Amino acid sequence: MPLNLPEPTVIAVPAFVLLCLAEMLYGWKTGRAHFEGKDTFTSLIMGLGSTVSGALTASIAAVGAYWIWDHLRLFDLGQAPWVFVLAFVLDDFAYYWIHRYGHRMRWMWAAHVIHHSSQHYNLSTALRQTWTGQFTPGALFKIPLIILGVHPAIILFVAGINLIYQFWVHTEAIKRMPRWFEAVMNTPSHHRVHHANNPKYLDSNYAGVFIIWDKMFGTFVPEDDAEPVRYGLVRDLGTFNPLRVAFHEWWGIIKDVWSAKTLHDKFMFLVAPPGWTPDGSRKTSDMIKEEWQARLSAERQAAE
Amino acid sequence: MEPTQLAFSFIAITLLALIARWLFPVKKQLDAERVSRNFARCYPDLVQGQAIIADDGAAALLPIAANDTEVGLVTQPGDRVVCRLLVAADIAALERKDDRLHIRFHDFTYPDLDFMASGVALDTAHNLLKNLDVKATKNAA
Repeated sequence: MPLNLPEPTVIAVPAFVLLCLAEMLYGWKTGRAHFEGKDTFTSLIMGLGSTVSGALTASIAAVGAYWIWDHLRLFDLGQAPWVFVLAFVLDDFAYYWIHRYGHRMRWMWAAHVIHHSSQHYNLSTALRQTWTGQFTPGALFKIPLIILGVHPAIILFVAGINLIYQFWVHTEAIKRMPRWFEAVMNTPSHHRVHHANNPKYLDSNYAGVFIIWDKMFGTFVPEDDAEPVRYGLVRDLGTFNPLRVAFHEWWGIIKDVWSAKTLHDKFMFLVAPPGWTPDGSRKTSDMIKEEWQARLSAERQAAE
Repeated sequence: MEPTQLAFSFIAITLLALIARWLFPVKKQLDAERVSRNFARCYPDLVQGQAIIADDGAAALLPIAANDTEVGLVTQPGDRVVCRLLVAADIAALERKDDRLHIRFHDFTYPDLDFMASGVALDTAHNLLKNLDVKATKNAA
């Protein structure tokens, strides 16, 4: 079945650039969007690098996907419009879990951390993408779709649409969408929470397109106007060097795995949540949230 | 991706970054209030001493009360603030010059820093880092 579908993200690149420029001008005029030169440069270079690394490794991923399609698929759902709709929903469901593990497993976080490394939140942040996602087990989450009978080219196509959808949610310029939309879809408000490093907001709102996954699996946290979002990492980077941004967590893993005393610890440095150490000397997001809750309780008790 | 396409992408990126820099110039520098507020946000349980702020307003060192094993570092690499809690093992090299303290860190995400200062402020900053008690465990990720 030859399928020649366009690459949506490649087509969208000029629009991405123009919308970045438009947001800059809007922010300059209204103060409702913020940029910084070095941060913007790093974000856009990461985006370019991600495109290059994706192109370099695409054939390896394609070989794997087509092997599964040829040997393991249960059905062939074909190319009818409903298959694209079904694929879009299932792909977004797979994306939710890839993204969730991208935050909860250090191996996958090493690739995804790049996207969260800016302390700004604007359309250029959307383009701050990983160079190393292909070296994580993330793609495994999409295998069930191929086995189910969705052609790999369709999966690639709907994943591109999914990424394009996620571009516009990276903005402070839109406060809230209509209530019905906020209830079902990922929005700038929901995704601001996801990019926050406030303890209250950590590890929440993993959705790509449909926020319902977070509501179903208990990871949804609404934006609270009383708790303004601060963007970035719990330990922010002190560099704009794209190479350091791209590889810092991988380097951290290598150092930790190398110096770990037992095989168990070496393994855990790969699969445990970021911040895990055998002696608890660093903090995971769960530990940060627990400490925050304890401080909050103590403050409330003191106030009573 | 073809080399020409790559080159044009790079030019477009540089132009966008220059526009961002022009439209959003970094005006705010570190002051005592900003240093204290940001450090408290990152390390809420620590009691801060008097901050030593660099002459260029790009960095500040914070002694921690009743603690000779850790020093707070607050910097502003762009227009946002980054905080660290330093122990002796985090510092790879400390070089004092006339108008600055050049600090190299064992930190892939923060390799080095020029702490611009002179006179008493430079002495205090230098002593604060030089005298960090080496008993503390390594803090850097």
